[in-house]
Amino acid sequence: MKRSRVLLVLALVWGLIGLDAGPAAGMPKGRVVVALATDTSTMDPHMHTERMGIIMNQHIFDTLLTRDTKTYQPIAHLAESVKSVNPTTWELKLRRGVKFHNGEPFTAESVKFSFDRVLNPEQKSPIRGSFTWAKSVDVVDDHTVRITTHKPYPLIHEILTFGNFAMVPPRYVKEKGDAYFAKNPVGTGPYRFVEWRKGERLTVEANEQYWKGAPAIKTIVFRIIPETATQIAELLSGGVDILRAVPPDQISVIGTSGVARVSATQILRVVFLQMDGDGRAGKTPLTDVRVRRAINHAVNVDEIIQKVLGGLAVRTPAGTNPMAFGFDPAIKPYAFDPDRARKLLTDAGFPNGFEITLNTYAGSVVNVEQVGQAVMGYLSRVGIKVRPRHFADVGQYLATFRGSKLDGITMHSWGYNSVFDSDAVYYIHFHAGEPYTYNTAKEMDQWLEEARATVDAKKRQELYSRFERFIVDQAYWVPMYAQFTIEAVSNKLNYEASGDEIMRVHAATWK
Amino acid sequence: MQVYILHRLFQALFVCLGISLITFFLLHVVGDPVLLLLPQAASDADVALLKEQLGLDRPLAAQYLSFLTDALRGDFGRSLFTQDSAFALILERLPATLELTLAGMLVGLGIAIPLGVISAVKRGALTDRLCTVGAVAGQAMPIFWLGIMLILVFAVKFRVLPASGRGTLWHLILPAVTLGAYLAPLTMRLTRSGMLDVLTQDYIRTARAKGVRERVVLFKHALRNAAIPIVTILGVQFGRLLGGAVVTETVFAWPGVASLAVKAIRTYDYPVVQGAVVFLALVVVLANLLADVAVTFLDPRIRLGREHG
Amino acid sequence: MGRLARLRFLAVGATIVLAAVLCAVMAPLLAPHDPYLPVVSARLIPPVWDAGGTWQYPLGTDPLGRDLLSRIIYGARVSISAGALAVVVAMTFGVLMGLLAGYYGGLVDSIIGNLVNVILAYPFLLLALAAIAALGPSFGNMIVVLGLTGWPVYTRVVRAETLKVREREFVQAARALGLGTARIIRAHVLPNLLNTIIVMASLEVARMIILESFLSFLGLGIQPPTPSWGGMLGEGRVYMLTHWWLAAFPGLAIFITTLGINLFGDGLRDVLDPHRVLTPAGVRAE
Repeated sequence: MKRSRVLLVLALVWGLIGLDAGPAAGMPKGRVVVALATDTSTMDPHMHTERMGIIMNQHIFDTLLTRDTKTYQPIAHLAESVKSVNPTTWELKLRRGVKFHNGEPFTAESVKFSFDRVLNPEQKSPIRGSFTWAKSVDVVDDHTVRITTHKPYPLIHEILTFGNFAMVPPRYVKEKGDAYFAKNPVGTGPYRFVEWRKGERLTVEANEQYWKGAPAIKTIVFRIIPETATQIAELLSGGVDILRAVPPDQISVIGTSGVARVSATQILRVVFLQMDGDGRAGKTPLTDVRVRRAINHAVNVDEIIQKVLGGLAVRTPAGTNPMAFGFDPAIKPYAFDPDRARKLLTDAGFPNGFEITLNTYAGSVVNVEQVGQAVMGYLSRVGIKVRPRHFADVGQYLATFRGSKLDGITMHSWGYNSVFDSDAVYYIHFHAGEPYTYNTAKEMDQWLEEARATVDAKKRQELYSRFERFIVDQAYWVPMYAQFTIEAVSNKLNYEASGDEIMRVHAATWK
Repeated sequence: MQVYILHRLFQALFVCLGISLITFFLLHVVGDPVLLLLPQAASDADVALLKEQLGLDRPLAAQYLSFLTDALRGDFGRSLFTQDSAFALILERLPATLELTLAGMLVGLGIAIPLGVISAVKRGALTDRLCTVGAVAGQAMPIFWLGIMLILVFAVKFRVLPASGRGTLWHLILPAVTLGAYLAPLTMRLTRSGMLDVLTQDYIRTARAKGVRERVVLFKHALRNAAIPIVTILGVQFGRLLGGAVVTETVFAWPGVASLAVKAIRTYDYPVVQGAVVFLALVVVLANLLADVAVTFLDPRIRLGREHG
Repeated sequence: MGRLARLRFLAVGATIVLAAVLCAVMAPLLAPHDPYLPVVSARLIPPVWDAGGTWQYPLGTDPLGRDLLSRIIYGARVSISAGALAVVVAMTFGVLMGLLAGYYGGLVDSIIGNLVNVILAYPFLLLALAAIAALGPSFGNMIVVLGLTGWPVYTRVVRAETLKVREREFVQAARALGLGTARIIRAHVLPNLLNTIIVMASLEVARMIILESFLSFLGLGIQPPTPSWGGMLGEGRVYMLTHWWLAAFPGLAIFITTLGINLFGDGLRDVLDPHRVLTPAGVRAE
């Protein structure tokens, strides 16, 4: 009697476990928690420029084009094709059968609405400036859109992958208003919005009707954990599954933990020392090209990469990222040569060195304090005494930068706005009149403008090669390295970090 | 009595005004949130436009005046980043901080008061000396260090408690213990001296001479009278609690007002900072007021002489 | 507590304080390495008793290859001088305010009293953050911030004492005779307060050191590469899981120094101020 009862109970329990342990294959299941250090300010993709926001947005929304995760080239997404009809007109053919989470169909109207919304000055969208190349957007039919541009715009494929430029539902936005939409987003993406507790967590659930097929993970929670030590503790104790930013020195403790591993890959962000060659913020020895070359010889970039970054960085001889269009592999960086540096300094009239400011800022650069202080160490060895000036507040840093008050050497970094093209890094730092330019030359302006105006890839590469050789010769920068993104993943998941720093948790699967 | 309370309320208002003024001018001296709102590649024209739209280009006095008039209507302005009402943001996160500080206070008092009483009673004994050294040690220990150690031991090593975040009662334990440990040392020492002062009073000696049991002496007479300085201390401690809460909320990813205020200060989100700081100051002032009122109920002798304490 | 025990605590405290001051003053002579120069090839070496440690770096090195022992010795400079200077600033201002409030009474007293309430109500950390965010992090600004938030403690005590003295006959007599205010204060008010203030100041130094480390830990105090115990603690917090010595030793330094100062101050109080002018309510908790 008893035994059969026990067996019955066991069978029931077994059945329940069986039921629980796996719904039919292909159904989303389970819960993944991602740890981020900061939150986004709004769920409305058009109204912010934060990377965290972009990461969250592209789970809920889709863009017209997206990046291939292996080649980083723009590929079809909501738009099946983007073809040039004439130099100033592009025709987009849209995917059929796509619906927003609230049932509203995705059509050419949605595209026009999204474009108009961003371009509308009253909307005050912070990404408007990136889309002013567009003159007008016209609906041809339900699944065809035509975009007219003011001038030929070769970068349209790149810009349509822009994480902030997601397609939003016209009816929903018009009905509910912007304020509601910012807290209750509706998109076409692989996950639908569930709950957002600002500064604490965002919860999203799998969209089983997603046009690309339902994702493997049922629930994703983005948790905001500001303290790095806490993040790592959470990962090791199983509370969190993915970390966005792991300091290089913590890689070993995660790798040996047995519960998680590190996933690192090269990204677009480049780190470099910009020198005030023009004397925009006041005259310093940096206006002498020999001094700038000396500084290039003085800094041991390879050692920084090996020791401070654990080998997780790639040298950028001319400042642009090897992943970006325009990179010329034939260009060689300055050799580490402190003796030559001292000689150059003596030639330039500074046998005993001089004092200069080194500006750094908090945020995007991995291990910024350590890299900055390592640089200070190298410079002091050749007699250059460095006054460190650290900006804990990015806003203040940018204001000083743009206000022509950033004197001396600045350790700056640039993420290219996820555009894999050298124009994205060079134009804004070397073209006369741009806010971040502290080094100008007529030839540089010419080359940059030409490269921007033509669609001929061969010609553009030629121009950039010439440009790069020039800036290396003039030593305006100490080009250092291209950063890596270092993420950590629980061993339960198949997930890898991506070179454009956009975490595609929606593409992860269970092991 | 009513006059007294009114007087104190008026004082509270003055204090809040003073604080709002200080914060306002401090934050407006330097710092530019506009650049954080725009992508780094924005042109100078874009920056100027946004500044104008947000009203940040008006003279300081004008900005402060409009802040005041709005605040009186309950409108602290909108966060420069999320466009939410600053007041709403603060209210949203207030329960979390209250939960944390109350729990922290409970833990802190739970440790401090018994120990304070014991060491006062057993003055000079080993217990007393250990408590004193422990208190000094506790005061010298950085709060974040304790927090991270607790996480390492209980969450990572033994996996019995969650490492961070807010949710269940389990999530509250480590942060409350951390905050409580931050409060306890000083509170213990103050309790001890308060009790010592009281225990040397005549009426205690009288009670003892009359043969009243020690336990009754302690709790009925001594503690109740020592309660006065203790309650006063508690009011003062509230301000300290918020300082501890800043670090605790950061280490444990606790979604409270203190971490909101810190983030707002760092990003020059003026309206939120103004609102948070003034609000928190109001809370602290009210806590002090409550403490003082409670004291006057406990001891009518002090009622009128309080202001000149 | 027995007399002997009290004296022993005082002695222990005094020894620790003396050691810390020595470190601060004689740092260049005591420290085996340059605390500033990064030696990237010597990063993150553990203390001598751990595997991989060496006597060249007894307490290990930091992520930039700098000797931890040297940095801790130099860190004493920052902590001690910050603590002492902040107290001097706060004490000067606070005592002055207290004298003014107590002696003149009336409107002056009201204003100062309200000012004291404002400062005391303000959560120190938020004030510090806002102030330093506005002024920029530097040693000087930090002293100003610490001083500005620390003065009310003195004011309350001094004011109470001044009030008491003011009503005494000999002061009334002196005023009737036309003697100057400053003279009266100097001759009669200050001497009574001296002991109290000395004791308060010594305890406040410990509190200031902890606050300084708090600020530096948040990145708002002493800027790198200048070594400060709080800053080192802040830099070391990510490394607590892997390279424990980076946070442990600076923390220990803060702890021991503060402990020493507290023992010294308490002992001093037992000697100078046995009647305990300092009531619990008068001791401010930040």
